[in-house]
Amino acid sequence: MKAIFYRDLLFFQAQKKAVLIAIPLFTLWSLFIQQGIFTLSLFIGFVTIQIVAILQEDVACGYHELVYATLGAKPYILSKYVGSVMAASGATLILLPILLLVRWLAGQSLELLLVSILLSWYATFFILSIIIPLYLFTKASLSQVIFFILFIVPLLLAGVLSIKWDMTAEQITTILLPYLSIGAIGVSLIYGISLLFSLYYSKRS
Amino acid sequence: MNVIACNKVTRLFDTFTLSYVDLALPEGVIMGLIGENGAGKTSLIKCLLNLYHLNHGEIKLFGEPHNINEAALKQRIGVVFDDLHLPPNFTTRHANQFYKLTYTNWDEPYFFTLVKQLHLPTQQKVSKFSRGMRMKLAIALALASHPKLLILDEPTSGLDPIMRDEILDLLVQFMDEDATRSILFSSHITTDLDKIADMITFIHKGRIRFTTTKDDLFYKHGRFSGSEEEFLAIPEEAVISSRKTSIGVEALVLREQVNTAFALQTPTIEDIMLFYARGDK
Repeated sequence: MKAIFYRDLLFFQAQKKAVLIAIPLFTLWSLFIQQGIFTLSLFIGFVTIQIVAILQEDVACGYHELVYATLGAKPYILSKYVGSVMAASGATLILLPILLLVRWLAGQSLELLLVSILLSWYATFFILSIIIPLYLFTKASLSQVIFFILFIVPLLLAGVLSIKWDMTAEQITTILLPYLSIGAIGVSLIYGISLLFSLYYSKRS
Repeated sequence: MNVIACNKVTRLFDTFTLSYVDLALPEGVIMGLIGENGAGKTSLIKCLLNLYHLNHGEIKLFGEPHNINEAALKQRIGVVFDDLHLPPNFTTRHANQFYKLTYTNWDEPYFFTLVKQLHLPTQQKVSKFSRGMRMKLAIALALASHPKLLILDEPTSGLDPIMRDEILDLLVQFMDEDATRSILFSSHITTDLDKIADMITFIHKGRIRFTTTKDDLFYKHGRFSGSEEEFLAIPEEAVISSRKTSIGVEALVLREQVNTAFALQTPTIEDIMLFYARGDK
């Protein structure tokens, strides 16, 4: 699996400049225009875009088949699921000092910070649960459309609803707080099922 | 020992079926897998590599089932597809690192010797490589783990004759180094197989039509070229297939069943493939 992670790391490295530019811009935008840490934590979700970009490139150049032929399908599939968790953890750790700084500057609560990070994780892994098998076993064009819908629609919906209801991040947190543990169980379950499905289906394709 | 042994391998696709394929590749042999585009060569190779599951039958590689202990088996196999299949931002050095982490017996000095021998750049991204450079890198990567079995899927298609010759030389050198090595070489460019193959397997519409040594293939078949009257004198059961030309008839025939009075020419592998594929006896 080291070999597969090596390729993923190279991909992430190539994105380094873009991320270094994007983080300060996103931080300023979330601090002065949006809802501070509630918005900034969404940046963790951009891991999804990176994973999808890797999958798309792998499928386009046939790299996944090369890995299947040299190592087998199982290590490749496992690496995508494990790698996503590692990438999300890495993104959270990198973002944490900036999140703490923004929290302090915006005077937001620690509770909001926790809820924001968790919501980003839930969204990330919910989307990946659906997108990884789609990219592995269906046409890339179909996967792209579904990914776009899964990624953009919730963001638009959240934006529209928060404007319509005129709710602050703290108010949204208060509403969502009771459902966080159910969310964690639900997303873990969906992600686990997705992994098992991908492993099973790879033997049948 | 057979390095590859397929027993009634069947795989159903939406528009095509690989049907009851029996194939045996002995140790130390270069086998050419020939057939027109869409005949099932790539599908069969993907079945061998467990990229497709089987609907029926079994495959053994080095005497072991191909889908059990897969990772260990694949350590002994080098694979070259019809393209490089590496991410576009990879360089030769990245590819070396990736393969080094993949194969336990990766020979880095040998790989860079091959890279130098083939005049491949080490810092340039593979997306900037020409088709010839991509295929040469793919072959260098497949050879540098010193595999016992090399599986090549159309590695020379789209290459000029000089480049093809260079690749064939590499394969001959690979076989010369170790008598226990074997190659399965799929191609529709039959002249390449004329040069290096010991055995030929012909696949047509998902079925194996024959597997034989190259010498036997040439010994058993003859190419008839003559008038229609002469052609009619050849027993019908000796004719694989025939076609009318402006000057008469051309046919592929079984030598043993044809009177020695007929001056038969030695066919090329391409002739044999074409006449078998036509099959309009």
